Amino acid sequence: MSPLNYWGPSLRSGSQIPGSERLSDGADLSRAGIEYAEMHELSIAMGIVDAALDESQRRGVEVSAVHLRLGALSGVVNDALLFSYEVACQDTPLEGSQLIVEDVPVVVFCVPCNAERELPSVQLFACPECGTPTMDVRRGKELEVFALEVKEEELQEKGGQA
Amino acid sequence: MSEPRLVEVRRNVLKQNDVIARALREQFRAAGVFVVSLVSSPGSGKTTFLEKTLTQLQPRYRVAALVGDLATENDAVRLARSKAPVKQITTGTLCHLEASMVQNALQDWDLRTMDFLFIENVGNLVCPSSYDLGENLRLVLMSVTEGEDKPLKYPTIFNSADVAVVTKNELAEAVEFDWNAAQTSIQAVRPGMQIFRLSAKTGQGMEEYLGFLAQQLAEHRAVAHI
Repeated sequence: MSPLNYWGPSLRSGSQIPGSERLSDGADLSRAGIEYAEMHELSIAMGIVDAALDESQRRGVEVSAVHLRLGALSGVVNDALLFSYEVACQDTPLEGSQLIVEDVPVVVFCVPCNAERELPSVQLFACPECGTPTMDVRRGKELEVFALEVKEEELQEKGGQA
Repeated sequence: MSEPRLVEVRRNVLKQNDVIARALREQFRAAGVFVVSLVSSPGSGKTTFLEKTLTQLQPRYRVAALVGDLATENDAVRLARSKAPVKQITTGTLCHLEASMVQNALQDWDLRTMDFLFIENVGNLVCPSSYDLGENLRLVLMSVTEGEDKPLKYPTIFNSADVAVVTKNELAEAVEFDWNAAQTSIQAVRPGMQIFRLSAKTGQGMEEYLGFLAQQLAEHRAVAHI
């Protein structure tokens, strides 16, 4: 029995993801074809939506796009996340908004070179210049909503009211 | 159409989990318990490995385990044979444990009555890597039957781990396991990581690994001033 067959169907009976109440009564996940492999990204996507909603409500703005920094070591797969984001947005004020992902490569510090170096691959933690192994990771673990694109009209309206 | 405007927000998506994980880590420090989380693929022999670990630590240490599983309680039943306190966290549809689940599961356990607490994550080498559980040591387990290049296929989880255990060594010859190649791939994705090669089934190599855990506990307590 493959993990997909085993874990897939139970999803439709609800979810225990914290703060995921929307899942059981809102989004039709079986129709969306969510399977085991996407679950982790779905959980992350809901975290993104929650963070963006919180920020937009606090500012009283309408969001057209969410900008995310995604490190190569974040453990999150870009494509699966984009798909999950759509599902996570359903029935929220973010429905129809766009997720714009900025991939952040892994940057390590190399002691012999005394410099930060970008790793061409996460399969080799060694300085690409001199080959010295290193675990001093300076960037690449990001999983951060860093900006919201908001509609200018909304801002002006709010400004006018204030 | 109005022009969109960019508003900087800077929100860590996993902040909530990280905050809980930090609180857990402080709780573990104060109680003097050393917490080890286990990550591996399904079928790598994680439950057998944990059962042997619990059983063999028991004469000298007070041990307990939390076990994450999707639907069944089979793992907890198997681990209960070790006579150690074991609690199941049934994750339902979720492919990984999160710090809040660990926190909830620990609510009615007195951490001061433990030397070691093991947290067995859901069998999965992708999802658990993003979630800090407050553990002191993340142990990644792979078996000789999985192939030497497993670390290269799942670099993120190996990179996030503190120690690696290669198990089912009794099968190494039969599957022509290349130990040097396995070491090379582990060191490529996680330079300097200590690796133990053992057989949970025959007990070969267990002593060295258990000695390592004992040493980790002693160092943990020395730093925590317990």
